[in-house]
Amino acid sequence: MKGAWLVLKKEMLYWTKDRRTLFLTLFFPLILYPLLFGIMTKMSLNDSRRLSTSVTRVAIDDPRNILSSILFREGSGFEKFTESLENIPLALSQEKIHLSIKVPQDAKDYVASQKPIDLQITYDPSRDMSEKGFFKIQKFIKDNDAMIVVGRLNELRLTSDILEPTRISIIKTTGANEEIGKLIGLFLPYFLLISMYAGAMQFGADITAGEKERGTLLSLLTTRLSRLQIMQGKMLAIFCVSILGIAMNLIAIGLGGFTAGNLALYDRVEKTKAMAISMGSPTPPTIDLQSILTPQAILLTLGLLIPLGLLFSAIILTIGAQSKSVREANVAMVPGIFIVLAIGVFSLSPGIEKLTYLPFVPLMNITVVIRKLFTGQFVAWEYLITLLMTLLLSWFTVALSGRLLSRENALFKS
Amino acid sequence: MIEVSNIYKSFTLKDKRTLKIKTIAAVQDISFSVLPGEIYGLLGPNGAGKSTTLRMIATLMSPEKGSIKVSGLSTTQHPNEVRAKLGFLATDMDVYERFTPREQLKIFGEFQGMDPESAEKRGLQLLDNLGILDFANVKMDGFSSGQRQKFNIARALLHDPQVIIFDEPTTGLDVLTAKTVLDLLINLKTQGKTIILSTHILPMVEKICSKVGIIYQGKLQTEGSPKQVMERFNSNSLDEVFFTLADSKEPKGGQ
Repeated sequence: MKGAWLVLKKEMLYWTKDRRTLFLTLFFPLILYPLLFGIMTKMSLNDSRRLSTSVTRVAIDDPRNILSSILFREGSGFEKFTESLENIPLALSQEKIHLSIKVPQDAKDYVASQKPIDLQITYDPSRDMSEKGFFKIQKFIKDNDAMIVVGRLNELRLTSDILEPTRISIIKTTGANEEIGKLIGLFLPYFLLISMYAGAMQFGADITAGEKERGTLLSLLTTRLSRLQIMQGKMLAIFCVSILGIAMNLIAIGLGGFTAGNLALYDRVEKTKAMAISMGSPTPPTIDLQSILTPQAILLTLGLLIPLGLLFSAIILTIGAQSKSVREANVAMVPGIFIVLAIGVFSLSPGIEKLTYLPFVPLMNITVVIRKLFTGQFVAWEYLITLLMTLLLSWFTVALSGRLLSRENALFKS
Repeated sequence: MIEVSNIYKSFTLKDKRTLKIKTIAAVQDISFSVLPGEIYGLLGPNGAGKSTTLRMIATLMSPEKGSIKVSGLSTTQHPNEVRAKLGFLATDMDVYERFTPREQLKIFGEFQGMDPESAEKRGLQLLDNLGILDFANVKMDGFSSGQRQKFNIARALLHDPQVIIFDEPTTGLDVLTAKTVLDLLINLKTQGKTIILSTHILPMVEKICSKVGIIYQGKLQTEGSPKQVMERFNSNSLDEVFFTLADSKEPKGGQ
C-alpha cells in the first residue's frame, strides 16, 4: 500500500503545481457562489420591493363613477390612466397600463337593488405588474364587498357571523426550517452527484490518458511500483480531488446561502416584525440553519459520499486508462454525466421517496436518503441498505477496473 | 545478466474495411543473453520488433511463449523485483513538466525505494554529469528535447540499476551531448553493468558494443560481436550488413 500512497502524493503534488486548476477548483467557487447568490437575492428583493410599492395604472370605463370614486383615493395604490386607448391588449403588453376595468352603465341600479355588478377586468398574466395589479384589485373589491355586506347585515340587524358557520384555526407542525430542509434535500443530492462526477472527470482523464499521451506513464511503469499500486494511487488521487472539489463547492454554497439568507432574512425580519407587532404577536418566526445542517446529517451524508466517490473514481480511472488520449477519455466519460444527470433529474420527481424498492436501487437510493436526512425523515435501515449497496457496487467496480487495467493492452493502446 | 529464451509475442489488428482480425507476430523465437560488463546492441529497422523485445525485458509486456530472466529472476514471475534492478529509457518517455528535475528525481527515488535525501544527492550528481545541473530547480515545461532526454537518462540511472536498457538514448541530442552519453555508457560498462542498447547510429554500436543482434521481421537474423557479424556478411561496416539483410528479406511487416 506504501506504493499507492507514494503515487497519491505525487499526483496531489503535481496537481497543486497547476495554479489555474487549483484556483478554479478550490478558490473560484468561494468567490463565485456568494457573489452569484448575493446578486440574485438582491435582485429578487429589489424586484419584490418594486412590485409591492409600485402603483397600478388602471384604464377604467366607469361612466357613472361607481368604482372610480373609491378606487383612486390617495394611498390606494391605484392610478387612473386618463389617455384614450385603441388597443387594450397592446397597451397591457407595452405596460402603458396594468389593468383595464369595465364597469356596467347601470351599476348603480344593481347596487340599489342589491344585485351583483358584473365587472370586466382585463390583464396580462405574463407581466408581473399586471398580474400583481389583478391580485390587488381582487383584494380591493373583496374588502369593499365585505364592507357593503356588513352594512347590509347591520340594516337587517344581523352580524357577519351569519356568513361564517365554521371557522378554521391552522396549526402547522412544520415551520420555515422544514421548508428549507426540504428544499436543501431536494437539490443537494442532485448537486452532489453531478459535481462529484464532473469535478473528477477532467483530473481523472489527465492522470490516466493524459499521462499515456505525454509519455510519463511509461516512466512510472518502469519503477519498482506494481501496476496495481500505480492504479490504486491514481484512483485515490481522483477520489481526493472529487471530495475536495465537493467540499469546496459545499462550503461556497453554504457561504453563498449565508449571504443570500442574511439579505433575505433581514428583509423578512423587517417585514415580519412589522406584521407581528401589528397583529400583537410577541415573536416573529425565525429560520435556524444550524438545526437543518446538523453535524449528524452532514456526517451521514459524507458517509455515503465516500463509497460513491470511490465508485466514480473507479469508473473514471477505468475509462481514462483504456483511452489513448485525453480527448478520447473525455468523449468516453461524457455519457457518464448524462447518466448521473438523468438520475439527478429523476430524483427530483415528486413522491419518489415513497417507492419501497428504492433503497435497493444504486445511486438513486443515495439521492433519496440524503433528501430524507435534511427533512427529518431519516430511516436507519434505509440508510444502512443504501450504504451497503453503494459499498458493494464500488467494491465491484474497483475490482473490475483492477482486472481491466491489469491487461497489457489497457496501458499500451496506441 | 539477461537471458532471453525463445520469446514470442503477437498483436491483433483489425481491418477497418473487412472487419477481419489479423494476428501479427511481432517477435518470433528470439533468444540471446547479455553478461555483466557487456553492452548488447539490439539493431533493426523501425517495426522490426526491437521495442517489443525491450518492453518484454522491462516487464512492461509479457511474452506469450519463452522466458526472460534478469539477474536470475523471471520477468513474468517477479516483475517488481526485476524492475527494481533495471533502468529503462525509451524514446516515447517524457517528463512531468510542472515539476523541476530536483523534485522529480526525489519522487522517482522514493518510487525506487530510496530515501528522498540520497535520491536527491545522487540525482544532482547525475544531472551534473549530464551537464544540466544549472536547471535542477527550473520547471521542466521549458526544457528542450535534448534536456528532457538527458533528464530521462538521469532518472533511469537514479537507483544505480544493475541492468540498463536504453532505447535510442541519443535521440534529440547534439553531437557533443551524444558523446557524453556514449562516455557514460562506456563508464557504466566498466562498472560491470549489463546493458542493452538499441540505436540507429551504427558506428556507435561498432565502437562500444560487445555483441550485436540484428532483428528483422520479428526474428533475430544474426548475432555475435560486431567484428564477427561484419565478417559473416563480408562487410566493412554494420551499415552494409543492415542493407544486405534488408535486401535479402521480403518485407512483411512486424512491430
